[in-house]
This record gives sequence, structure tokens and C-alpha cells, in this order.
Amino acid sequence: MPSMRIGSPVFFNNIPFEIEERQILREMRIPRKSNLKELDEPGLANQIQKAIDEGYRLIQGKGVYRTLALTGREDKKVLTRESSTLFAGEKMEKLLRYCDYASLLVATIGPDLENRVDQLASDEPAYSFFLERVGAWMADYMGILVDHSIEKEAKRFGYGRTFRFGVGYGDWPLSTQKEVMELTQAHKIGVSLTESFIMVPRLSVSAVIGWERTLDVPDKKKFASKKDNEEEIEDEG
Amino acid sequence: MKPLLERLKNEILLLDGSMGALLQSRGLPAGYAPDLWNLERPLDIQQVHSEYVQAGSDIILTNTFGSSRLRLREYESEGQIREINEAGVEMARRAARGKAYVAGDIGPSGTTIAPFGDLSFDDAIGIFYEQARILLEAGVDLIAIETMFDIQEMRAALIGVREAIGTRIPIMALMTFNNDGITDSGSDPETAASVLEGFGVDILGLNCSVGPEAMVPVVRRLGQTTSTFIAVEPNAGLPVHRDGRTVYPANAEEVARFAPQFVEAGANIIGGCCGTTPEYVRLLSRMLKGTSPISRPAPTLMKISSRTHMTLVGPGVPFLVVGEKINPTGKKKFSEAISAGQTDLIVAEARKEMEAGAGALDVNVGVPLVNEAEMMAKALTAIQNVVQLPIVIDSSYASALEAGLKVYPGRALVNSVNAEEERLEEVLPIIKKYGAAVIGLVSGDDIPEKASERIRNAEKILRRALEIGLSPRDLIFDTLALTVSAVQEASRQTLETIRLIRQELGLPTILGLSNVSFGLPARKLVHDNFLAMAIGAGLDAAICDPYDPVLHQTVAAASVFAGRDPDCRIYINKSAAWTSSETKDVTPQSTRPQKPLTTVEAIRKAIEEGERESISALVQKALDEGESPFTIFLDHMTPAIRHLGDLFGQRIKFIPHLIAGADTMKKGVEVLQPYLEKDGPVEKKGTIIFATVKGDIHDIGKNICILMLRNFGYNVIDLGRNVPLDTILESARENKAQIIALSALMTTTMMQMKLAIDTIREKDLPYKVMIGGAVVTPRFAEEIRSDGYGKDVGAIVPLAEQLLQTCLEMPPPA
Repeated sequence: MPSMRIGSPVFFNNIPFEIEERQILREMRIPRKSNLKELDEPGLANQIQKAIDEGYRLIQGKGVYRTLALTGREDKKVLTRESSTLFAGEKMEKLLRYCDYASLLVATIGPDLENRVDQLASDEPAYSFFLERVGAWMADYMGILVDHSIEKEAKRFGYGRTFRFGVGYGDWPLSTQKEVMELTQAHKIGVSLTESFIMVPRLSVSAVIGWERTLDVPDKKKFASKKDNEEEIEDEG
Repeated sequence: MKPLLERLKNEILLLDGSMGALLQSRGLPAGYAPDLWNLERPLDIQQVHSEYVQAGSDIILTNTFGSSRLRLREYESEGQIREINEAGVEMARRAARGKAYVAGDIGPSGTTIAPFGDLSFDDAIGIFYEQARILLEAGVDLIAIETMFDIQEMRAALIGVREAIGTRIPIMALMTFNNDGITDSGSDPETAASVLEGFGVDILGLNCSVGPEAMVPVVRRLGQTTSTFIAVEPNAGLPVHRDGRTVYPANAEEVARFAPQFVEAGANIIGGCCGTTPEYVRLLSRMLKGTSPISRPAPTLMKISSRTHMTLVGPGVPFLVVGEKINPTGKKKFSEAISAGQTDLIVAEARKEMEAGAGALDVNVGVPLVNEAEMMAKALTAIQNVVQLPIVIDSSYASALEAGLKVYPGRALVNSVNAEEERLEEVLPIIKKYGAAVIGLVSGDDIPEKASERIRNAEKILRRALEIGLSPRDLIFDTLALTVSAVQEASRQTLETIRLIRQELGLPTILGLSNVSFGLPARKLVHDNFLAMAIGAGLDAAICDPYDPVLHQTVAAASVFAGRDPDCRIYINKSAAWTSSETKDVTPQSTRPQKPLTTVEAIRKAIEEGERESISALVQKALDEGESPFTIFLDHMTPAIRHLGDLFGQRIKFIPHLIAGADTMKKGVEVLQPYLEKDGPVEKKGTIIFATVKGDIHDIGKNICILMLRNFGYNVIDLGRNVPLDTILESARENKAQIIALSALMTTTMMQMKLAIDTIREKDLPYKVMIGGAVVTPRFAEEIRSDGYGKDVGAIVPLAEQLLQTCLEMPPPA
């Protein structure tokens, strides 16, 4: 059995990807369209297609996650060996209520697409917007792929997962971004912070996912009743 | 004991079950490395092995799953790597007592491997080599590499293990598949099998992660794609976490009842992974001892694969079109990009070839004075991020071939080796080491004229390949398409060579097609006809131009005659697209005659539909037709963009439509500008200072708002992003602005808006402030006493108009 990757960051470089038209249209808030052919405006469709094609050339997906063992709870904080300030806030406490571990994740599409967006901003603002929307979805996409890796790992050890909670959302202070970056060694995938805790490249995502003891969660318990004569075996090898 | 591989021909053999479960019952603390007990509690290890041997295990895995240098480092025990592995083998050997084979167990490195991860491929090979060498020297009967989630890590492990053990003992290689039958790295069973077969593993299969039910279909798919022995080790169901413990819910009977299905699907070895026990093995033993494995026919076709897809090459399967476009020969821009180390054109070409219908991609990055090895690795890494087609690695340098094979997480086809001694010695060992397939050119020191001589070269290449341990299925021959305008007989000999290789060697053939038509007019006609003849002669693949639609039609039609398209299904499916494209332009025009638009109507339509490419010519045409520039702007363009805004308000059109429309209008206005300003500058509606606030670096929304405002005649001063308040106020003063527009995307930076408004109020400055951005809400705008709040780009123009109107109604400052 694989070991649980606790404590040290797990890096992903060169994440394979596909830019789905459906998702890009969704990112652009165009409802009820699943591909560019369904758009009635060929001019607009061409611009978006061009941005997707350019996205394939400019995106380099990278990600990292680090799983931390949760050691206790006090005063709207969830503690780990590494930090007593990282997981703060009522929402965080609620999120990690049934969790033994939590994985921090950071993912990015790299700087090239963003640089191109900036370069185009004044002369080609519309196309710059379309390209930026492609990048925005793809940053999420990279985050989702890292998310899936965490989910699979948690599942192998008998854990469910919480939803992905972004740094700075709810009452989780954006200032914790600093600790998230340090603990994940996000600089190794090229992500750094501004003084205002904004990630650079901007088209990056950071979040936490809790490893939840599924059967302990009240609303999940009823779906998983214990079978008769079930063997209970702990396994680490 | 009888050799393991001999027994597997006639018997189903049993592996052991979980080690960890039994060690925990003996007191192994949670989170403690079981491997350390090889030295600390060796008798416990031996006793667990003994329990499995007594239960009926024919093969036991040493307790060395995590005993690689990298894994032991987690416990600061890498200095004892030899002792831990040797003790693991010793305890297993003592328990086996000649009744069971001892498999040296090797697990994953615990990290991710380049190019996907951060551990270099060569370092990973070294880590696996070291452990395998120790296990071999300690006397194991086979090596078991198991629980591999990533095909690239398995490749590194197989190279390291093979270098360590040669062919002295068998290798068993087990991947881990998820419930969907796919590995974490995206490989399906057929793909994984093709890669593992390429390395010549003796036993392949799967273990861990899921229970037996999910493994049966994977074993079945493996059984249908390979004749290599198959091993399977299910978990005792999917684990759950309960009362601080990982619990595997299925009991021994529940797991063992799948054993007959495994056998029927093609398994030769059955054991258990996490949560399984000696009781499970005892049940298996009762059920399966004396059972023979089913016979599985040996596959005859060549397999190449990417990380996620396997492709068969040979008779009876679809013809393989290999895209030839990633090649700098004769392409200046492409060559310059490669020289600069850029991969963007390569990636674009790869995507284009895939979309054009290529089934594999030939990748050649040979440019003089470029480090081809480095560039090949870079190109293949970039391509595999966005295209999941098998790759043909094309270089005359062995170093570039090897660099490409290191980063390529599938079974690549290498282009190429010929019958020259030096090239054979250089290339074939690389093919063997990396489990690849290779194109054999039927040339030697020269290109023989006759087919009968060309096949001698093919035979030589085959012989040398077999000597080095390759399989005939690792080879495909290029029969050399020479320029027909120069030597017509040579092309006939090429076709004859295809027939001979098929008949005498039973091996597939491939051609680089484009050369054949060189020097002739209408080249496509020539090489497409030659391709049809070659397919008729038995050709299996061609490196050719995938953008040529006639080529695809030729392949489809010729394949019908060549037995590659049963019931003509592929042809019929593809032909539907050809016929629809032939008819689609005719129908609407003939059935629905439309009144042509006037030029100004066309301008309105272009703006409403975001047709930026046509607007400049339309505006110029309208001017040429005598329309006044002011009329075009005020009576046609402005109403068009306003109409678009109305449609946005009604949720018929959306932000991208609005932006594309605004962008189109902007291009049109650029044409009008000199005419509008002929009698002096046009008076702007008002001046707006626009900035993203200090600390914030997001500005895409701001830029779009500015585009919209400028179209409506506002003088907008764009100060950019991360702008200090002093700069904003100074610019407003200098430009006599009426409005300050502020944007922010982060909660941490939006308070800068409050600071700006408070300062303006405090100093009694005459500016209206409007705010917007993803985190800004109407409530926040109200709280900080902003003059206006724009929800999105659709709101910006009416808001500006409203604020400007307020300014005009205000008494001028005293």
C-alpha cells in the first residue's frame, strides 16, 4: 500500500490539459451553449477560438499540494504541527470539523498567458479579455486536477473529502496566503505573492481540502451503514 | 523448485496478502514504517510470511515495499538500505523454506517523476536500480514492482530494475487502477500493457486501491490485449475510516469469490493487497489449486502508445496516418523558433495535426547548431501536455532519441535505424532500454535498387534486434519511397518490398510519403495515388501531410479494399462529412434568397455580431459611398452598440458579445477618426480617470470598461493598475476630470476605494467616484458613499452618463 504523503509537498509539473469550449463559454458567462459552433456570431466564435488556440501554446500547468495532520482545535482555529495560525476562522473550523488531515494546494498556468494578456491590454482589450478568461478557467482546471489527486489519495486511506475552500474566502483571511505559499513551497512552481497577498501569476489558485472521516459526518452516516460480520482491519503496508 | 515461468504456463499460482494488517495486529504503531521491522522485529516478519506460506501462497513478497533510498529517508534510515532489504529477503527466504518463491518487493518512490513531477527521470532510475541490485544479491527469485500509479514512474522502475538484474530473474510489474479502470496518470489497461510489454516484463497486472469487483474488467481487458502472464491483487474493498482506523470492509469470502472470474478473465497469479489475510489466501488455495489458466493467443500487431492511448499497427486494423508537419526542414519560422528554444509553434502544429485526423505525430526538431537532445525533450514535454497521440521520435542523433524517450511516458516509435553497423549498435540498445518500437529503414550503406536486396537489409535489422532481446513486434520497416520522377523503377520496387516484408517476415511497413512526388506538378495527386497503391500492396502506415483532405479520402477508400475496414463502416462514417461539406454552401442560397444589406446596415450588423474583421472595410465603403462620418458614428454605430447593450440587459446577449461589439466599433471608429477630426478635435463627452487601486494587480475588467466608454465618446485616462491615490488625484486635477473610476478584485484592496472617497470628500474635490470589480457589492458602494456602482461592463456607460449629467447640473466650483 502506498504511504500517505504527509508533511512534504508533492509537485506536479507539465500537467497535461485540454481546453474545453464548454467550460470557456461558461467562464465567459454565455449560457446554454456547449461549443463555439452553437454561437450564432462567427466573429465572436473566431475570437474565442483564437484565444483557445493561443492558450494551448502559452499555458504550462503546475501544481503542488501538501497534506498536514490536524493536531487539535482551539478558539476558532484548527491546529497543525506546522502552524497554529493557518487554519483560522469559524468557517474553517466548520469545514475541518470531521477531518484528521488537510491538504493545501496551489496551482497555476504559469506566466506566459498572463504576460500576453497584459501585452494586448491596451491595443486589443477585447481579445485580451477572451484570452484572460481562457486563462482564468485553466487556472481553475489545474487546481481541479491537483484536487483530484488529493481526493484519490484521501480515498485510498478511507477518507472522504471536504469541498475545496479558497484562501481569502469567507472568514479565512487572505493574509494566510503567506503561510500557504511557504508550506507548499509554491515558489518552486513559480508562484509568489505581492504585498497585498495576491498571487503572481494572477492566474493561479490556492485552497485547502479537508480529509473527512466520512462515517463521522452526520449527514453522510445514514448512507453507509456497517455490514454484518464486517472485518475491521487497519493497514499501512 | 521448478522455474516460476514454467509453472505459470500450466498452473494458477497464489501470491500472499497484506503485510501491514498482520504487523499491526502484532503491535506495529500507526504511521511507523513496516520495513524497519526487518531489523527491529525480524521474527514477526518471518512469522507473517510463514502464515501466508502455510495458507498456500506460492509467491511471497518481501517486506521491502518502502525500502528504497528515498522512502527510507522519510524515516532517516536510508543509511541502512542494504541491511533492511537483505533482512527482508532473509526473513522471507526462511519462511518460504523452498515451498514458495521470494519476490523482492519494490514500491513507488513516494514522489512524482519528471517531466510530470520533480524527481528527475535519471534519479528515479538510480533509486530503483539500487534497491533491485541489493534484492538480487540477497537472493530473490523475482522482482515485483507494485502499486505504481504513474506509468512514467513504472518506466523508470523497469529501466532501473532491468539494469540491475538483466535477464537473470523474472520481473513482475503491477500498476494501480482506479474504479474507472484508469491509472492516476490516465493510462487505460491496453496502454499500460503496451508499455510494460515493451520492457519485456514477464508478468504484468494490477494491485491495490480498489476491491476485486472493479479489478475484474481490468484483468479482462489485459487478458484480451496481451499474452504476458497476468497477476492481480485486490484490496479487501474500498477503505473507510472509522474510530481512528482504516477499515477494509470486505471479508475473506467476499474477496475470494471473485477468484474464478479473475481466472476466466485471464489471470495467472492471484493474491491480495490491503486488508486481505492468510484466511483469504487459504480460501483461494482451496478454490484454485490445480486450476489451469486459460490460454490467450499471442498478439501479432505492433503497439505504440501515448500516456493515455494505445494504437495498433499492422494488417486488419485502421491505417495509421503519422503527421509529418513537426519538422523544421524548409520552414524558416519553425526553425527560428526551435533555435530560440520555443515550443509554441510545435504545440500549435501538434494540435492542428491532431484536429486534421493524424493518428500519430512525427517529431523532428533538427536545426543546425541547436542542442537537439535538449530541444527534443522540451518539444515532447510540451506536446504531451496538449495532445494524446502516440509520438514518432525522429532524429539522426542517438542522444536526441534517448532524451525524447526519457520524457515520453508511453511507448514511442523511433525514426529510425538502418542496416548500417554503426547505427544498429547505436540505436537498438536505446530501443531496448526504453521499451520503444523502431522504424527499420531498408537501406544500408546505400539504397538497394531491388526489393530482393532491400529485404536483406530488413532481415539484418530484424536479426540484430532479436539478438539484443527485442521482439519482432517492436519493428516496422520503411521500404523507402524514392522520387518517382527521378527513378520510376524504384517506386515499383518500394511496392514490391512492402509485399515481401509482409509475406516473408510477417511484419508491418511504413513510408515517408511526400518524397515520392518531388519535382512533379500537382504533387498531391501523385503521392495520394501512390499511397493507394501502397495500401493495396499491404502498407500499414505513412508519414504524410495530415492537412490534405484527399489523403484521408484515399486512405479511407483504399482501406476498404485492403481489408482494414470491415463492412466499410469507417469509410461510410467519414464520407458523411465529405458529402455534407460539398452540399452545405448550396442549399441555403438556393432555397432562401436574401435581400442584400446596405453598407450601413452591414456596419450595424457587424457591430452587433462582433465581426471585427469586416468593419474597417465596411466603414471605408460607407465613406466612399458618401455617408457622413458623423452619420455613420451617431446614427448607425452608436445605435448598434446601444442595441447590443439593450440585448445584454434582456439577457439575450452576454458580456463577450458586448465586448466583441465594442471592439468592432472601436476598429470602425479608428477608420472614422481622421474624418471626424478634420475640422478640429471632436469634443469629448467628459473626462474619466480610470485606475485599479493600489495593491491590486487585476485590470481586465477595467480595460473592457475603458473600451466601452471610449466608444461612447468619453476621454478616458487609463492609469493602469496598483495606482496610488495621490497619482489618481493628481491626474484628475491635471485633466480636469469629472469622474474617477476605481476597480478592485480583492477584498484586501477594496478598502483603497473608501480611502479615495473619504479623501475626496474631506478635501471637497469636485469628482464623482464610480467603483466596480469582482468583490465590490452595491452594499459596499453604499457604505463607502460611492457616487456610483457598476455591476459589470454593461452598466458602465449608463452609469457614466448619469454621473456626468449630475456634474453638469452642479454649480461650477467657486
